[in-house]
Amino acid sequence: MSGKSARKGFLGGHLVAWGYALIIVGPMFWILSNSFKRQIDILMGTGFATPILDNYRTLLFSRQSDFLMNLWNSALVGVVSTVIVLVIATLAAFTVVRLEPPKWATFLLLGWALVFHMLPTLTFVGSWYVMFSNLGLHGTYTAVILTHIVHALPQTVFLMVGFLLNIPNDLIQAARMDGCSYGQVFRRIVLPLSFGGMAAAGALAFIQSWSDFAIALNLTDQDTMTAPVAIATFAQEHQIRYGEMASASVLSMVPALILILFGQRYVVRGLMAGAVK
Amino acid sequence: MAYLTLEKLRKAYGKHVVIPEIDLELEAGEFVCLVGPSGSGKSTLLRMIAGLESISGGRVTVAGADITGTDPSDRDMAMVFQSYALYPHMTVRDNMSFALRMRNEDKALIQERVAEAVEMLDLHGLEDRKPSALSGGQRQRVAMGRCIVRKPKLFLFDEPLSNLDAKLRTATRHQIRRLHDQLGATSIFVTHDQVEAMTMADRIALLDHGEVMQIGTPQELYLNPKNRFTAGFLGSPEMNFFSGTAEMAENGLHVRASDSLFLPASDARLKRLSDRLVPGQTVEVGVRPEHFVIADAPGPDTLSLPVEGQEWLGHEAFVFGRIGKQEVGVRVASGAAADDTLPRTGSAVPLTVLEDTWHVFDPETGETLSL
Repeated sequence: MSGKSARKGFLGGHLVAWGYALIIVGPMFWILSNSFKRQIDILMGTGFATPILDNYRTLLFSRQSDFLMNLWNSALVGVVSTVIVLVIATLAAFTVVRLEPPKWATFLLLGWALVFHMLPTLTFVGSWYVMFSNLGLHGTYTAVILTHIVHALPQTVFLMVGFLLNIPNDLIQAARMDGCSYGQVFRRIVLPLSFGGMAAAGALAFIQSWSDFAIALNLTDQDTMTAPVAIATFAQEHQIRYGEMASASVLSMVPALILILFGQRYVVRGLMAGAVK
Repeated sequence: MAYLTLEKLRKAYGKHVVIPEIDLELEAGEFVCLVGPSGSGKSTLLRMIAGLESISGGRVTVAGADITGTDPSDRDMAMVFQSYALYPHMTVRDNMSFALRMRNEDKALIQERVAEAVEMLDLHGLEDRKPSALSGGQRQRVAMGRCIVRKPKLFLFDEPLSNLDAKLRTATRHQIRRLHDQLGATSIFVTHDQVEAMTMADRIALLDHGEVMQIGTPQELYLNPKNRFTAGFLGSPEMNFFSGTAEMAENGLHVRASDSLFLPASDARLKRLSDRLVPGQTVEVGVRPEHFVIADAPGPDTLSLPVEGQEWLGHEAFVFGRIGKQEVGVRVASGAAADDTLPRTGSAVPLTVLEDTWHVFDPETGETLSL
């Protein structure tokens, strides 16, 4: 009897998982199929049409299209902000976890991170726009990168704190007795041992930056526009270029997918760090 | 002058005092065990010497130099951690040479020292493995190797054997002591295991609640404990304690409670005791299991023990019973005692005590009255 009910639960679990997958994969598949259709087929709702590559061709090689540059912008902003976020977050986490700063300092830092993480990004975008405009930084990479750093920092600090807590204190003390200063402990012991965590936190920060729309929409201009903002521009006043929009979406999904495929192991482990010992 | 001295060393976390005040001196080449129950402050003390715990008061000097405020990285001490704390991302060779590399030592010297350590610790063929691919015993040896290559001023051991199985622990005990002698090292070894302390140490410092209860050779502590705590901590099975009123007799001491216990004594000991004891004073008496003798027949000076259980260990055997509420253990035989000669459960054995082997403690202070 217990076998039967376990089997039922098993089946239920499967249904939920497949249903969930459908919700996620369905739209992706729809976009993928649209990217190979003519505009008229998309508008008519044709299920199966002969696949064409026109959308991709226009997107990548037409004179009017800046999409390759948009992708490059996204990559540049994503990589630079992720690297800086990782450096700051790992150092901060090491300080909080192992250097025993005064309790109030730790409390302030982690409290700030938590509160900041809970506030919607859009709350800040308005003031960032004004600030960067006044500084003459509107439309620069600096502006987008800085805001993406600020945006990803809280969660990254939390993840890195969890990761560094998993490095036993004995190791750090052993290294201290072996003649390391704290700086050397960080470089020689902590850094090599937290690559997994950094990969996880970095992947998340990168994807967040890569998929950001709200900040980039307000802080970029024609030259620094990132891919998500560019995709939105396909919806124009007189027509919506569904085909190109779809192919642009597919192209912008690729790096994130690759990252997840390779980084999945680390990401999962990173998110579990601290939760399961 | 002593090699390592601790002067009025104190440790407190806020108002919570862990170590009120400790004075300790170590000679060069000595192997000293810090022993005590958990919470006695022995690990804390070791970590204060290492510099891993801050010092709330007092002074630490090594070879005449005050190192109280010195950073642990500059103290030139090596420590074997309970968890071994091997660097998981480095090979055995890199683990062992890490400290030397941090000091920018000559490559040839590093190679030579590591080779030496590998030889001493029998780690051949494991040099390029990561710690995760080693067994517990091998990890333990690598942790020791990491200390040996440095030739440090002081070896510190923080319960390094507690993660090994019993058989390996015995072997490693001998190995550590042998290495200590071979290297002419000065070592401090923290353990809660009295057998480790008794077998390895030149001197034992027994700690309780951050205070040294007694320090001396294993023999001194075992045979002449200064207080009830020391007497009760060392020895397995534990020393048997009885409390009652003491009365001097011609050739010994009578301790009377519900039963009477007669403790035969030499004239010298009796005289010393009579100076300290007030007739009729309440005392606590301690007798080790091996200092009871089973008498041929019950008599006026024997104590009758109803047997409740036996422990047969091959080379010796114990019987256990209760007198009043007090659990009493007695060693009944040494050598390969045959099982059928042991007193049976349910029977009663008459016991006498060997002359001058027993201890008398003040029940208030716990200090000995019989030394």
